Amino acid sequence: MLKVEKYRHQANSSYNLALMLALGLGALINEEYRRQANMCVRCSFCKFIDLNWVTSLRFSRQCPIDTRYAFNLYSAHGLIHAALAELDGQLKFTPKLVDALYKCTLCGGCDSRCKRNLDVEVLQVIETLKARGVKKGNGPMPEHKVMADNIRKTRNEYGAPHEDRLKWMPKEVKPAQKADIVYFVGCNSAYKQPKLAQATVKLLNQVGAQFMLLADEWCCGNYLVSTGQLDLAREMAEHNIKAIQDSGARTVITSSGECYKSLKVDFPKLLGKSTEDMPYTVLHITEYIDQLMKDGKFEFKKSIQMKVTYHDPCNLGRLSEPWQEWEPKYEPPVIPIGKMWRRGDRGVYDPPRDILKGIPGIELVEMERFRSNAWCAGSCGGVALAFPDFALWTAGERIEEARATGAEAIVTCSPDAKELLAKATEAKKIKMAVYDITEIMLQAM
Amino acid sequence: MSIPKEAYQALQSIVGPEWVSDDPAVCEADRKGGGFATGGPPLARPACCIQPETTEEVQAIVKVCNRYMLPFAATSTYGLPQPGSNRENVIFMDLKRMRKLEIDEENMYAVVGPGVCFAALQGELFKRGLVTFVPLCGGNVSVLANSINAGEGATGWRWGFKGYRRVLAAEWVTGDGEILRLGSRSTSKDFFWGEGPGPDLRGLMVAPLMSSPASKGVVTKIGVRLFPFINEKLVPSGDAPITTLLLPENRFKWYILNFPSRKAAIDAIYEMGKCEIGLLLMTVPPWFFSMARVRAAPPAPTGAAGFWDNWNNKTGPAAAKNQEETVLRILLYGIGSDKRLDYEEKVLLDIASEFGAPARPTRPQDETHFMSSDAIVSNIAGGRFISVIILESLDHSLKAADIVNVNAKKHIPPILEDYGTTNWFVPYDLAHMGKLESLRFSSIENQAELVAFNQDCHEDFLEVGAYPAMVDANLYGRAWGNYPEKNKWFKQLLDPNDLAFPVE
Repeated sequence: MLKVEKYRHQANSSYNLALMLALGLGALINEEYRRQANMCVRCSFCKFIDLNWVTSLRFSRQCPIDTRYAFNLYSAHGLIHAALAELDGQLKFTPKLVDALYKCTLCGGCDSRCKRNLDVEVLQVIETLKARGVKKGNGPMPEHKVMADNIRKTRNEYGAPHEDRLKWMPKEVKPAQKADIVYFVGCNSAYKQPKLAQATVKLLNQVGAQFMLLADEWCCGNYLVSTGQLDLAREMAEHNIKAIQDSGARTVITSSGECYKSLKVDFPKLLGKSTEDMPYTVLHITEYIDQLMKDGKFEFKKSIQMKVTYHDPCNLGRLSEPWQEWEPKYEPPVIPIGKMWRRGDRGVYDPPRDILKGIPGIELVEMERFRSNAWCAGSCGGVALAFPDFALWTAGERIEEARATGAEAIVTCSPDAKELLAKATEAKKIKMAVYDITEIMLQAM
Repeated sequence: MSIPKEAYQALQSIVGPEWVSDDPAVCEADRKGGGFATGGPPLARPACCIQPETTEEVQAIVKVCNRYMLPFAATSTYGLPQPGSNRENVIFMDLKRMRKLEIDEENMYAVVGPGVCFAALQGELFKRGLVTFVPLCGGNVSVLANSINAGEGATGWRWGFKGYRRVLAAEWVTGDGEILRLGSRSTSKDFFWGEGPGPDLRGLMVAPLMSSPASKGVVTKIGVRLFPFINEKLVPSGDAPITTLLLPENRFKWYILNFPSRKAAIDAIYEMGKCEIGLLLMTVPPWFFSMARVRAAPPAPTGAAGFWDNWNNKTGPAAAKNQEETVLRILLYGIGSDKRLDYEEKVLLDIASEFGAPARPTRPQDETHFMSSDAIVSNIAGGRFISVIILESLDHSLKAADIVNVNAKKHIPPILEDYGTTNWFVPYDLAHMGKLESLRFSSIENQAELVAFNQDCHEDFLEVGAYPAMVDANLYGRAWGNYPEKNKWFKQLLDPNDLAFPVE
């Protein structure tokens, strides 16, 4: 159920194009939507990693759909051109357009690349095109509708009983009844990979952090946002924000890249606010532990003799920069007034690396595409649900890249990415361990 | 728009159903190429898009096109040129699956397919102590497409003007579906040399100075000449979008020189050429300094705001007060040893002193000449830009600069404020060749004015003997030895059905 009136005053002055569209304010967005799409000069920078960082032909490309399908439509450049044609009534949502839109992982690589030169809001244009499609009945994919139904009924994307959400809690860990920190678990860690949730609370316990859990945590809605199902996503955001406020906690810690981005970026974006306006601060578990290390309050004691490489989850990296609401105001010819840019260079890149470097015995080697140039593991955007083969191919590319470093293991900070990367090692019969960073940290305690 | 069902099935049988599509969205995405201001006709949405992987598949596609009289066009990585046709039922070949790359280290050449971009080639070459020059339009563009087109790179000062001069042997599917193998490829598998046997046909394949009125087929593979490079690594640094390559200080040194006049700068460039110093050099038009503010560190304004803040409040007005002052940037290169760098530095400082130009070294790093190129950033000022270019001697460049400035005044506004000076001199081949490139900006809505300005300049350029580059040869055919007529003759020979890239 849309709550147009509630958000209209924010949305009227928003460049959050997809939100405005969902609120039925399509006419208002057209000018900004067109402006952004028109700025694309089809140079193809969006298809490659930052060129100064290219070291090989094999791993030079940024965009999974472009690399796999190669038709120009399967790229930011092609989708933007299709968006313009659709806006002008020259193009309908064809099967291939819907296919390209939903295979796009919305990983943000294109957006970051474009902002080296042109500052086009590439991701916003693609999100808006997707939302226009949903509005016209072209999407989401059937699997995404099932996911939404699950979330609606059971508050998690798998349809598992809601009352089991905290079943993973180890007996030896006793969360506080009241604390300044609340641990946001996330669906994957709560239901599919409980050892990640267990590792996180044990870590918090061992470093002496007083933390609590939400009385009624719901799905963060990350995949609802990326599949254009914004009404339900907003419902999730509103509930979780209220639950956090009711808890009295001011800091939310999560070990999931997806939840991190939802809490920090999507929640304010869905409500027409800025990250700084939210009643809490979000920290990834790596940010929290890293700060303790830097303050001299904690260090890892046990040695782990292992050569590892680190996979930057898109949600924790280039997609995690703070959201700022902004009223599209320009001075001639094209000077945006007061806009804070999200260009992908302020993601959470250093804390996980500093932690790995701080564990005795660990040797960290980088893949060719890392930090804001990282190749998506394929789990973003709900793609793994609707197109598992393509998602697995995408993860397989990442595993090949990891193998080229000579690493014995790949470490990441996203439960979904970990799951998919592990599947890819099996599918490719590559002997490489896949870890979530919480598992490594716990081993080193 | 539709093509015969039998033709579509034939195309499917060549590449497999996965790699051909007539979905309107797929076709729409290939309707437009580069978005810089051009005066060309709007292109039609192709009837279908197809992605061959080999020369033989391209040949088979072209033969189908000839059988059913279907026009065809091809592209790979995109970039500035606008491939396509304004006829209906175009078969659009996207060649980015043709990513063949073989590097012959001993003989210093590489064989590339259309899908290999410069950054990828350069990345592979650096690991082998070799190098190529990246064009000014960006490391993201196809090596093959750029080399047979108007490509040129800043390091052309040392390594040669224009990309087509690095082209060796080639494979080329003509407009009627024959495979022409040029140079050593005609008699063996290697691509080592491009000359003969018989007449050197590479001239028909490339579009060197001026755009070819029409293509004569699809080039599918070329050999490109490589150059030796230092064995030390150029280390990338920084998070995108602000990245750079750190240059080894014992082998590279940047200098900035401030000349009191354009004439003094040009004369000094001739001296530098005679002494054979530098890997690249160019003048730095004032707007370059403002473009650098696009990627300023916050809280300073960034993006378009960064440019205009600097251009309107600082650099532009200062440049308007002193139109003659000319800044030159040169990268000295110890190609064989550290001592060579010392020698180049001494020579440079002597020349600078002789011409009254204060010289100062700058940071040993490079953002845009070895791997990347940020020419596309020029669009950020207003939404569109145009490069008015002439290629001849540096003396011609000086004359052309005056022509450009006179003509610009007629079009400002709506062309955006230039403060009377946005001219950029780029010499090649140790000053044997000179290029003037003059950029002007407009909003997207006013880009037609850029095209009109460009045309005004070109007509005047011809009067002073300077060759305007990258313009429709049909407009200036008489001035160029009736080249377009001869080109049509060759086109008829190699593409008798006039199906390759037809644009009327």
